[in-house]
Amino acid sequence: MKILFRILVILVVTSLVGGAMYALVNVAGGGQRRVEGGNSFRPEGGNGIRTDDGRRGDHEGGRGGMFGFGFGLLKNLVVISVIAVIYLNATKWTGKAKDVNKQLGT
Amino acid sequence: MSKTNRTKLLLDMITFIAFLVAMDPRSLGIAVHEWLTIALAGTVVVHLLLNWNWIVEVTMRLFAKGKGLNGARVNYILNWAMFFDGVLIMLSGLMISQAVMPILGLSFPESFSWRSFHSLSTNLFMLGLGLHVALHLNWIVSTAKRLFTRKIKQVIPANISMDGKDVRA
Repeated sequence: MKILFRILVILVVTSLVGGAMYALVNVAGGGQRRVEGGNSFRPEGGNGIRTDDGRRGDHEGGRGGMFGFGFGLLKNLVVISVIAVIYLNATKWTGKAKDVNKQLGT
Repeated sequence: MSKTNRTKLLLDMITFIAFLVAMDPRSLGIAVHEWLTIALAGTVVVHLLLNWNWIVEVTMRLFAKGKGLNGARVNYILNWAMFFDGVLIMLSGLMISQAVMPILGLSFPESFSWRSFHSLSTNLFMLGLGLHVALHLNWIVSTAKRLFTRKIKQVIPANISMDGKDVRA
């Protein structure tokens, strides 16, 4: 019962946040803008061609096979690791700077 | 090591790997990307449930006078930012969905804004995830060490050394 209540809280908060975002985007008018012909905006690597069932052909079937998949996964992992390392080093340096300031009495 | 910690670590590792896979829709195809991220939303709910006590405790401390947060403030703010960002990723993803929503019989007009929001929020989430991992690195390393050393000890009995020699007295 307790867990169900917690799940309900999470879902309610998520719905509220999502609803607010949806309203914000639509009020700003951005959400109503349509892409002319479906080809004006193409995500990286997408061809924007519609398939027979009317869906866009971007990403369909994948690209690069297992090599591409491995590369993309590795790239994301490297980016996240670099961010983590930068943060850890930055906090270490600021910690050291604080220590030096304390020793200097500033 | 407590069972909760072990569950938390394993779930987080699975979620992290699934996120890395989901972040590359061009390789696996859009359908895998969409269904995987919907499954990821479920694991995020479980992640929140497993850390519920921490969330409640820090929220209470924020509103209680005279109680310090002991450095949890940055973590707390980052977690909320990631939550907002995650909701934006899911919402914008559903708005530009090509596999999940058509199956449910729903379709939305193609929108440049939702696509832009989807890309932007995903990039921001990656930044947030890097910081989240950095903030919890000590816990991740210590829990992983305890989990895997226990597994190794189970496989290799205590009276056999790591190089295979019998060390019984």
